[in-house]
Amino acid sequence: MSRLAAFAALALLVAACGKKEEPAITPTPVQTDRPMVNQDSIDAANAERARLAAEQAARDAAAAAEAARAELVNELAATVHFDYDQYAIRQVDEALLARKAAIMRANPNLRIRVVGHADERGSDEYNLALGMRRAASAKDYLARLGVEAGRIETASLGEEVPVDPASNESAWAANRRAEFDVVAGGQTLVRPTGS
Amino acid sequence: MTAVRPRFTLLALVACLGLAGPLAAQQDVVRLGITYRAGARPGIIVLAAAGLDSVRKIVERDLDYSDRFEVAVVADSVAPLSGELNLGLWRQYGLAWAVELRPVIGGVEARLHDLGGDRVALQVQRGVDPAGSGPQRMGIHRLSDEIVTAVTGDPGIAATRVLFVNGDAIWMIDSDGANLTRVSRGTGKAMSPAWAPDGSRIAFMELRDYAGPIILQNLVTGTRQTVPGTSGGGNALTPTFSPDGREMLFAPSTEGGTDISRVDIQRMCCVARLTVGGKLADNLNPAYSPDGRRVAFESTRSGRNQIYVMDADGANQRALVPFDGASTGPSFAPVWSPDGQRIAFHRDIADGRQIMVFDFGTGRATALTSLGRNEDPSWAPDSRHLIFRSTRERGEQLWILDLESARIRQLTNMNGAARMPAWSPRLTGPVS
Repeated sequence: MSRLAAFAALALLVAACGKKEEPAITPTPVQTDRPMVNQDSIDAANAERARLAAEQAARDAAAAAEAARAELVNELAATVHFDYDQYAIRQVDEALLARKAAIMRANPNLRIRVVGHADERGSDEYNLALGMRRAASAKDYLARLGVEAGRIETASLGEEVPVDPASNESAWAANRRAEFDVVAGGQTLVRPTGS
Repeated sequence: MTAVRPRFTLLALVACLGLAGPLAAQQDVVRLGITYRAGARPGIIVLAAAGLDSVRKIVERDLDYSDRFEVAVVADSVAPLSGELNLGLWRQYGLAWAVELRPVIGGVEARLHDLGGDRVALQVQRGVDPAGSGPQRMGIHRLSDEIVTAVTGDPGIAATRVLFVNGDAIWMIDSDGANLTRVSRGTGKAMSPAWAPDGSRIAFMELRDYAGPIILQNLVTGTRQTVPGTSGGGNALTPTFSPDGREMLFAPSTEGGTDISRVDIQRMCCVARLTVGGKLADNLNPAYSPDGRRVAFESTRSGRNQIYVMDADGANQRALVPFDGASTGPSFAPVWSPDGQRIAFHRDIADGRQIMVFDFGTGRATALTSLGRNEDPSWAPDSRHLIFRSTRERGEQLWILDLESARIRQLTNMNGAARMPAWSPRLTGPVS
């Protein structure tokens, strides 16, 4: 027998003789600062949150811009009214028209159409002429505030399209009006400065 | 369509009623089922052979609507005309005229008997459809008009039609209310129809996509053309043909104002401006005098709408219907009577709107209506009937007024308002 084999046999003998005692085997703990696998998922979660936050911020900004644009469109579309058989701009409507002029000056691609209307009194045909006077009057007012005349179209519908078909004073007052439509350039609008 | 005035009604055939000679004027006499009021208008009866009753009814109604006769209405129980006409009987009823309708090959023969003069005043044959329907109806109306002319010397108006606006379209109706037809075929709102003097074409404004050019439409073929000078934007208001049919006046309405212009409708060119109200005044609703030498129109140059007149070339513009500053109501839509004697228009008075007539002889304007809102008058070719739009009764419909008898009858019964009527000239050519 070789020395190795003899030694092995001796080890076995010793092991066998000492088998009534459990040997104390203590695994050595592996000490590290961060688990590698958890760090990736935390990074990913943070990146995802940041991305979602950025998307939300973009949506919020778009909604705010759209709300701002819609508000400007509403201001452009606000109706002005007239006294019976008159086409002069009334004092109460001056601020409304000034606001329209400011929006148009701030947005040089904007084109609008002013449509004049009349109440049912007079004659149907004269009311078409009167509606045209009202449209021209509103256009002149905007032009005096610096809006180029070429960006404002005019038209008249006379008494043909009332907002209130009744035959009383309040219906007639509602029907004597000029309406404003955006014809072009209304997809993106900027606020006039200082507003 | 009820008549407002009483009629001479025969309830039974009774001989020898002793009605020879006129009864006391203004006195209604009821005798043996007959109500008769003597008046200035001659009594007339329309009798027809069997099979011609629908023609008879059309002629009877035409003569009634002429407002020149007391028309004897024959009850259904009275036997239709057969054999010889019993002129003595009708003479005894105090009638002045009897119309006798008999069939001939291809149509109808009408004889007009002058009962006082014991003669046949008129004998004509017409190729009309005995059933009285379709385009042959106009032929029957022409027969009625010949009867009116034979009695009064004036032309009748039965063979005429009326254009008007209902909804977004131009419609046409016979003067007796038959044959309601939609005429305009485009999209958009059609307004302000006008007749060419020969009755073959009409013009109207068609408002679509915020602009209103003037369309010429041939009534027979339906072909449409756009009048030059009216398609560049804005609304071209109130077209009207000159009496010789060669020119048209209209009022282009743009942001620079509303003014009257003339265009050569024969050569379809050559627009010329006649008024220059510009930013200060609106000028519209031109109406030629029947000789084509003057034009009445509506203008706001005094501050409110009033009626003016000018030469046909635009010279000598001056006020026509007198007005007194702010106290005279605004006056609109003048139309010149075919005999040249009067201008009809409408005026706002108190809370209403009334049809007015300005008489060139007296130089004064008087109101013809007093109830409700009445506007848009148009003259019949006889210069004594006017059609207009009225709110009397329900809704807004077209009514016809006779200036001499003051009788008013309703012509239309449309859904929604009937407005902007235009009475045709006498229709002599073939119109479908």
